[in-house]
Amino acid sequence: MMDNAWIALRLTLKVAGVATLINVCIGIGIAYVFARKPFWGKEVVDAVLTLPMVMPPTVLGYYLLVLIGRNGPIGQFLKQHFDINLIFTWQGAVIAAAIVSFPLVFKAARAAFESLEPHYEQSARVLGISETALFFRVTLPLAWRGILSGVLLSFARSSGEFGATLMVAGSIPGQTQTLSIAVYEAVQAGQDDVANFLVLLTSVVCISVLLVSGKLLPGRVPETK
Amino acid sequence: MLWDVCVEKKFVSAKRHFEIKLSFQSDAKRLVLFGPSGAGKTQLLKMLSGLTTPDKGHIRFHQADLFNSSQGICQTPQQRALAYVFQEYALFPHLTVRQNVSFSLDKSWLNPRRQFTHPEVDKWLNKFQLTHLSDQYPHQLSGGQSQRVALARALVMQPKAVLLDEPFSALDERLRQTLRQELNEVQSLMDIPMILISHHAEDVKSFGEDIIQIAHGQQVFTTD
Repeated sequence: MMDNAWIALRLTLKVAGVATLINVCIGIGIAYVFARKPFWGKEVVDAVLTLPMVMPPTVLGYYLLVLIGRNGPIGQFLKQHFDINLIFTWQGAVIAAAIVSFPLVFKAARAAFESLEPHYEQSARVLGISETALFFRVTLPLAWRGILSGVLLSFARSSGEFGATLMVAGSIPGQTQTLSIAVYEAVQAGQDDVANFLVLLTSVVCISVLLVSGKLLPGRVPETK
Repeated sequence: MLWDVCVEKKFVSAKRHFEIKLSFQSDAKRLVLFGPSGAGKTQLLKMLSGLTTPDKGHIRFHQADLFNSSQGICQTPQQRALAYVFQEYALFPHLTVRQNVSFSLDKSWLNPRRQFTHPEVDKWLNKFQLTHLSDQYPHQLSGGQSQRVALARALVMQPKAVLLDEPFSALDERLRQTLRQELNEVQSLMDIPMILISHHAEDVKSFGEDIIQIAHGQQVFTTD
């Protein structure tokens, strides 16, 4: 019984970790484009990308089911060409968690990029550094602290994801049953001792994340003058 | 002709409507763009360096087109290889003095290491008496030191010309004189073309070989 709890914890960390990693790559990339390039309808697209933050997770889960389910356009495509099924798999849970927490990384990164003084990038440019290189050498290191807070929030949000995950991935012990879903199942089944242990475990994990983020955040990069 | 510039650009925003319309030719290796703040000097310098693109016109340097709207030529700042010293110095706050000065020598995706050495870097650190500050971060430097680091960083890349935006404006009078002298020395030593922006008559007197006066985005007056 307690073994199941550890399995659920491992699964939660795996799902949240992969989802956060996806958001770090995609979210930061898209945020950079939004902060630097003008294009038509930018704020509308921004609103759409931020939608997961305000929409009920179950609604989001339903959208996902419609899209990546067996009869959905993306689901059918994946099934036909790659023989991949995402529904009721941990990869499905990753997609649900990634989409729900995407706006946290995106918003934080866009704000961090936009608040950067333009003359740092400009001086890298006149020093002959290519656009890609200056992103990694100047922009990212200077914006990193603002982005990191978004990344940690995204990890926390992913590991606590319930609604969309349940809709897309279900609650299969050992496969898709994350901590927050396991707590719900235990309470429903009247297993108070399991629920107690799971809740305690979750709390310890959350406190550790907060402590780690407190260690990571302050004073690593010298303050801008 | 060293510089042959003829540019036009409109800046439209809710608050302000501003138009730059300038043309000048100069053979001076020490050229001063002189005028009150808000006259469009910085914008002109950014056009020369490629950080801003003019709407129309041409920018020629040593007979080569850096920008030419009728032929669709517009070199990137990286291609132009003109050094630019910002008014606020714009030293990278996350890098040490040595890393800042070495910045242009490493074109990869990674910043130069803290121990990076190169004869050019050591030469300029030495020349501006910055060697003992190599491992300091920009926020630990005084105004004069920051200015010297910015200048060293610009010169290490062995630019074709140096553009300086109000290089002495944040300094007190005494330091200003010292740095003017240093800049003059560097210019004679390297025999490199420089353009300096200023609204101080002193700078014009001590540095300017050729002066272009600008007000409200238009050229007012040129002397040789």
